[in-house]
Amino acid sequence: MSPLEQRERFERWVQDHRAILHHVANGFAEGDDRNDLMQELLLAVWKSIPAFRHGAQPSTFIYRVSHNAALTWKRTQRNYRARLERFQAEPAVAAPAPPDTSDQDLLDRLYAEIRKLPPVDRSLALLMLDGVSYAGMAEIHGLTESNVGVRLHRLKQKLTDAMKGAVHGPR
Amino acid sequence: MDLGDLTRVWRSPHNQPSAAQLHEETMKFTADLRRRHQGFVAFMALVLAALVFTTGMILFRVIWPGPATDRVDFTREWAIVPFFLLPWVAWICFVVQYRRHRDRHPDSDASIRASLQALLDENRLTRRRQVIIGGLQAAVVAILPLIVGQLKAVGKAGREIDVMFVLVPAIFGAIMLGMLWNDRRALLPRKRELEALLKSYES
Repeated sequence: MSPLEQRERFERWVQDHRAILHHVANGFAEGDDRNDLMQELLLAVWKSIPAFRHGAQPSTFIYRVSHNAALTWKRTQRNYRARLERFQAEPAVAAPAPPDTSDQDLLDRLYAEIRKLPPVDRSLALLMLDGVSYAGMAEIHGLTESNVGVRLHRLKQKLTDAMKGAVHGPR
Repeated sequence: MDLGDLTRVWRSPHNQPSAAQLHEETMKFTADLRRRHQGFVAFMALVLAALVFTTGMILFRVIWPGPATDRVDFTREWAIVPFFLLPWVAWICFVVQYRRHRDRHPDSDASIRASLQALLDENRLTRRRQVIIGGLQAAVVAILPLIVGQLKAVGKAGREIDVMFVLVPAIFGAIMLGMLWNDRRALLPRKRELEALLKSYES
């Protein structure tokens, strides 16, 4: 594959599947880390293009590459330190924010709940919300469909419970 | 709030990246990619240049000894041969390691789980590579007295070369400490991280 072809395919894929990358970046990181992770995801897609086999689904391929990159991504010490400093600068007990049920707020809370999950579950939750089939998830992760089913059953319950708390606010 | 509500929020326009944001991220990536590529090429070129230069100098002296240069007599100066061969031995070891690794994981891109297994194996190889480098450095230090002794015996060096007994172990010691630090700070935690990820697939 020539560099020009690689570049053309990269630009087309990023354009067509930008939502996948956006969801993965937000699901695995926030703030400056999110921008770093986004760069890692783009790099992973770029590097993986020559390995793409014709006949395969680009979306499944991009899901696997981006989720793989996110799972094995190492946040930089610089951002980690910056985050620690921000955390230390925050007051010890923050006043609870009034519940806001706007879509943006719900989305932020949903992402926050997803980021609390263990890494593999986090990835499965993102795939589930993106509407990927059980077979697709099994293929991406190298799991059996029944295993995916069991995990997702637990995950759905966990997420909906957590979001109920988010909507009703702290008691 | 049920899964239907979550899915509705998930599919809302708020969860779509804007074209401007995407453009900015792609531009940043392109610049970063160019920088990474240049850095890697520069590093590899530097290593190769150093290796080719030192080996070339030796071969040049052996094949075309000028009137001003002393011919290398391998019956009396043979210790220099393993000294210059050791980096090539290391290089060949790394290439063989890489090929074996590639053969062991032909389907590493089939699934995330397979990729993680390949990454864990790669981590093990990187750690082993450090052991090989450490072993070769120890071998160089072991043959150093022979090299120095032979150079003195043929009259190509005087007592000033004794500084090598301090300099070489000091440099190699610093490299080993660096590798140990890298192992403890980066490779070992990475190994544990990958093992934990793989284990989470079993739960």
